[in-house]
Amino acid sequence: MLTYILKRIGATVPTLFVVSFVIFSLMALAGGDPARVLAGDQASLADLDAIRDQMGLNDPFILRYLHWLGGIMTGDLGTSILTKLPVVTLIGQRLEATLSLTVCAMVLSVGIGLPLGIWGGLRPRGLVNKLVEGLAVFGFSVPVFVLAYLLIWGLSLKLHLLPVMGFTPISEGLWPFLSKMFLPSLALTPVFAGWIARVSRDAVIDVLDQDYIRTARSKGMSMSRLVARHVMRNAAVPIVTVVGMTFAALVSGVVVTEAVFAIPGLGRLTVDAISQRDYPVIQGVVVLMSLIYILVNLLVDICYVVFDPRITY
Amino acid sequence: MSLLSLDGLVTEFGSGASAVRAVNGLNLEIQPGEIVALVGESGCGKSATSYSISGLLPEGRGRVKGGTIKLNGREIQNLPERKMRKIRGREISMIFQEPMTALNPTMTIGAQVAEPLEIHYGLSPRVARARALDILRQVNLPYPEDKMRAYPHQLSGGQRQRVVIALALIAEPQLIIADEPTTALDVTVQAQILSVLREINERNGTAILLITHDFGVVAEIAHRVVVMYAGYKVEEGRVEDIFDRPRHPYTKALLASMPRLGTSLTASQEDEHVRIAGIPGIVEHFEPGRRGCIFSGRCEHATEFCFKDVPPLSTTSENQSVACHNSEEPE
Repeated sequence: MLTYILKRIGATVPTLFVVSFVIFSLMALAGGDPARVLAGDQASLADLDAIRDQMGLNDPFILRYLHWLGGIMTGDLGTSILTKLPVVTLIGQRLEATLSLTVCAMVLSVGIGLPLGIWGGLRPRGLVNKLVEGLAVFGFSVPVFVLAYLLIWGLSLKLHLLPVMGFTPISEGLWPFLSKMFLPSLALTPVFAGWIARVSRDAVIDVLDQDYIRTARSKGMSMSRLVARHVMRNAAVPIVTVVGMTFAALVSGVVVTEAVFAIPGLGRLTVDAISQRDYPVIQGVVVLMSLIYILVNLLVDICYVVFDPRITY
Repeated sequence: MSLLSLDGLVTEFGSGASAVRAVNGLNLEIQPGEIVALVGESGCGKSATSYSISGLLPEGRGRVKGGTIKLNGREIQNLPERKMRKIRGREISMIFQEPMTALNPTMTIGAQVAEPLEIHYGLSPRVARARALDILRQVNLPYPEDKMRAYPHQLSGGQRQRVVIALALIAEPQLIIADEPTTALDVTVQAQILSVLREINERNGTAILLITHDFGVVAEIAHRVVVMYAGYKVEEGRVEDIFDRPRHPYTKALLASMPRLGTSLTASQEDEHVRIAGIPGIVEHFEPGRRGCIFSGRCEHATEFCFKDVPPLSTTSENQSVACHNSEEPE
C-alpha cells in the first residue's frame, strides 16, 4: 500500500510539469501586454520597451518559462505586476476565504446529498428518490447566482436572519464565521448535493442488484447491517470520485459566489488579475488550482485502493 | 412432522394483467435429513420456489399469492421481514448458482463466513472467526488459515463455492436450499462439491433442497425427485423409481436429454441411440383460462383429451405420483 502511494505521488511530478508548461504557453498565447497596462496611456514606445526589458518580457519564451518554473520550485510564483507584492502572498491572503467557503459548501453538500442518495437507492420507488431527482434538476437548472440573490433577499433582507455579505475569518469567532458562510454555502449546495445524491443513489441501486447482496440477505441480517457492511464499501468508488470532483469544482468554481457575497477569495483575485492582465497572478492561481486537482485525484485514487481490494496498481 | 411442507404454493411475478404465475399450486414435503431434488428446465419455477421459501422474492415484483409454507409446522409465508430474518441463515440457508459473484468482493472470506454467527448468536467476530475456520476445514477448502484473510477474487470458482457452502452451513441450519450449486463449475469440481454436500447431509443430518436441471447431479446425491414444469409438479418419486420407471413424458424427455458418454449433439437423426434428444419447443406459462395439460403443446403423446382437461396428480405406485392422462398406458 505504501509503495503504491509513493509511486502514485511520484507519478504526479510529470503531470505537474506538463500542466505548468500548458499554463505558461496559454498565457503567452493569450496576448495582451502587461507593460502597456503598467505604463498607462501616455507612455512612449521606448518607455514600454524599457518596462518590458525590466520585466524580462523580451526574453525568448523558453527562457521565460524556465525562469518561472525555477521560481515555482523554490516556492516563488513571481511578483504581481500591479501590486508589486509576491503572488504567493496575494494567494495566501485569499486562500482562507476560498477554502472556508469550499469546506462549508462541501459539508452541506455531502451531508445532504449522501444520506438522500443512499436512502433513495434503498427505496427506488419511494418519496425520497423523487426528492433526489428534484434536487438534482433544481441544482442543475437554477444558476448559483440566482439562488444566491434569492437567499440574500429572503433570509437577509426580508427576515434579517443573517448578514448580507462579507467574510469573517474563523479566528475571530465561530459564530461570526458561520453566519457569513451559511448563505454562500447554501447557494452552492443544491447543485453539488444533487450531483452527489444522484451518483450515490445509482451506486447503491447498482450494488443492491448484485448477487452478493442476495447472499448477504440470505444470512438474515438487518437492513442497517446490510447497508453498513455490504452496500457502502462496494458503492464507495463512484461516491468518493464524485466527492473529490465536488471539492475540486468548488475550489475553482466559487468565483461567482464570491462575487455575489463580496467574499475576498481566490475567485475575486483571479477575476481582477485577468481584467488587468496581471499574468503572474493568473498563472499562480491556475498552478494552485491544478495542484489541488492533482492532489484530489491522488486522494481519490488512494481511496479506491483502500475501499476495493480488487484494485491494485 | 415434515421439516418443510409446501401446500398449494402459488408465486407470481409482476402485477395485474401482466402477472406471470411462476409456481402454480405446488405441494412439496421435505423430511429432516432428506435430500430432495427439484428438477426442471429454466423458467419452470424452481428458483421462484426457493425464493418463496426463504422470503427472498424480489421486493415489489414477486410475491407468494396463495398456499402455505410450513417450517416445522409453523406457517412462514406471511411472516414479516423482521421475523423472517431470524429464520434465514439460521434455520434455512441458501447456496447460490454463481460462486463467482455470490461473495462480497470487499470483505475477507473469514468475515463473510463468520457473519451468520455474529448475526444470529451475537458471537464476537473473534469467536465467530475461529468457528469459521473449522467450517472452512469441513468443506475441504485448501489452506483455510490463509484463505480466511483472502478476498473472493483471490480464490478459484470451486474454492468460492466451498466458501458459499461454508457460510450456509456455519449456523447449522436444518435445511439448505442449494440452487444449481454446481452449474457454473467444471465437471471435476462439480463432483467434489456434491460430495461435500453429501457429507454435510450424512454428518449433520441437514436436509437439502437441491434445485437443478441436471439429472446427473440428481443421481449423484438425491433421495427423492420432484419434477416441475411451468410452475406445476408433474412427477414425484424416489430417485431409483424415477430413473427406472419415469411416468411423465416430460420426465422421460429430460432423462433422454441427459448427455452420457458416447452420446453426441451432432450425431445424425438415424443414430438415435447416440444422439442427445432435445425437447422441442419452449416452456409455456400458465395463463388464466388456459385449459388442458400444461405440457400438451410439447408432448408427443398428447391426445385430444390432454388439450381439454388438466391431469390431476395421481399416485401410481407406493412412492411415485404423476400428473399425466396417459401415464398408465404401456410404453
